Amino acid sequence: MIVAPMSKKFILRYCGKGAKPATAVARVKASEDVKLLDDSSPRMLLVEGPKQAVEALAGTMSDWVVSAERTMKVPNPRPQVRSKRAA
Amino acid sequence: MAAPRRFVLLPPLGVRLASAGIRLARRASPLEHFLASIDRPARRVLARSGEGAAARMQVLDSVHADGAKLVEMRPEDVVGLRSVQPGVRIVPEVFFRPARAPRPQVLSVAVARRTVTTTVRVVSRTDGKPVAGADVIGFTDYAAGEGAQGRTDAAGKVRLRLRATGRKIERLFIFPVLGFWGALGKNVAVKAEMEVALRPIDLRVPDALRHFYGFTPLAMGRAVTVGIIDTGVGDHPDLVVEGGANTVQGEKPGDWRDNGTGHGTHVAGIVAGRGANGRGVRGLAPGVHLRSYRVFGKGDDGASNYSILKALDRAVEDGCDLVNMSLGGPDRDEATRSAIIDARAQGTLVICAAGNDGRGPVAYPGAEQLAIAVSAMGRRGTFPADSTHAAEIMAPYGKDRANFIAGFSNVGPEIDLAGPGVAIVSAVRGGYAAWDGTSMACPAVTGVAAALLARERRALRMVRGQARSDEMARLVFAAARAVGFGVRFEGRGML
Repeated sequence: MIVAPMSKKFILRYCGKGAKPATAVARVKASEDVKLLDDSSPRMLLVEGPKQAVEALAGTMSDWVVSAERTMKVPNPRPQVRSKRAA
Repeated sequence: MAAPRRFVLLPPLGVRLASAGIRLARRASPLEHFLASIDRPARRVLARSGEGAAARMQVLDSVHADGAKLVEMRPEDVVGLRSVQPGVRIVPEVFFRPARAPRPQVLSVAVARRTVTTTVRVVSRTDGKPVAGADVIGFTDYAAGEGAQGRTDAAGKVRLRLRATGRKIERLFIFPVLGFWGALGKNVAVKAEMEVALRPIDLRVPDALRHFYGFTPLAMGRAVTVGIIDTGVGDHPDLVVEGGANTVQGEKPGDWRDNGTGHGTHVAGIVAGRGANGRGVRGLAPGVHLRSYRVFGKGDDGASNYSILKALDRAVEDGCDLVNMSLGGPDRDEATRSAIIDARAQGTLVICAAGNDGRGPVAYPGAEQLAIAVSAMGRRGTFPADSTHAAEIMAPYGKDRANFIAGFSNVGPEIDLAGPGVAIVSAVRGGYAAWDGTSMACPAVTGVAAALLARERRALRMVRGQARSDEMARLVFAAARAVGFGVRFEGRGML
């Protein structure tokens, strides 16, 4: 059985000068392993694919950094019940 | 006095100003001049700003005149250097070691067999009417986090099933939705039925924010644009939002209003509330142009870093001078770092909450070098002694012993400033509520910074670029005064 590598969402951010180059966007669109989800931001792309494929793709484009998409929260200062007792 | 440590001083991006794509002007920038001035090893170097901030260091090595330096400094000098050269990255020298597997730890708590049930009824102290929707949390073992919790129904009642041992609730917290102070009981005897009467919030009585900064005029902060990246803002009669965006994937881009949690609205009220004295809340810079960037979806308690960065880019594009980010997480990421560098390079200052993990490390993106990280302090006497806020009173205390760093606040060398963040009364949908958090301390700093920038004007008039955001940071840091908590807790101090 062949197990496909797990797909996750990643942020590709352009660190060079000005807006992201169209050539890089075209390269992402042409990729078979990486799916472009959002290109509406001037300096970022949201993509989905296996980590290795995304990193390999980003490695072919200069001045781009990759970060996994993750969530941040509003800090909650309230005390939390950690272990609810069972009946 | 803490021992000196080694740090690497770097330009905002890369290891050299030139290689980072930062064009060197004919006339050297303050950062370029500074890096060139410490190009050779030297035992005692004193860096000073025009506003009186100073940092002492020993220069050990230099990569290039406009590049990285290896220096040795004490923690208080790191804070000082951030004020003198706000554009420089100060990275602790690190050494990599083999990764040892962590030891196993006991994580589960023994399950009790005997339980006792109690009904807590929450009412108003004024008229005895039930208070619905209040979160009631009872701890039988506070240190272990063992207990039960629930929310009051329309009759103001909630049933809690607790471990029977001891027949005492070590800590009983009541958090109302709005209009009342929360209540805190210690070592409460467990009875079949208990009643807790809540004290209503009186908007005429100053909270910590109004204690330190008074009642600000409506024009305060005019000419400054502030972006709130949060759960959305409004509607609330005390707030005027000029616009914004929703960057949550799959939601309407124009819906920047509150997602229902009220967090962003409370934060915005601290900066820009325009309420009348005694009848509403007045923020610290009510005259600012207020913009809302919603990054939390409807019903979501987490925001994607992609949504946050999109919002930050948009806020910079919209001309925000200050961006408030009362949010965070444990993990650093390169994309967020790059977005903050971009914001600073375009003249925008980013102010972040340090996080509420109880003396934990500063959360990200607050821990990012070019962001301003804010810890939370409180003041005795600005909230009822039997309220939930009293649980946050903890050392260190300030020179004025009524001031303290909130028990929930994260601390560390990345802290830049401290702001009032305990029992802060601000706007929520349908009224007003007193909340705690570095989420509240962060907009307190943003509000005072906006008022300061509007008064000084010289930074606002500069061309939007790195020098502008550096100058804004320099002005803000220069206005801070140490109040006696120590640099790990307050950075440069309070504005």
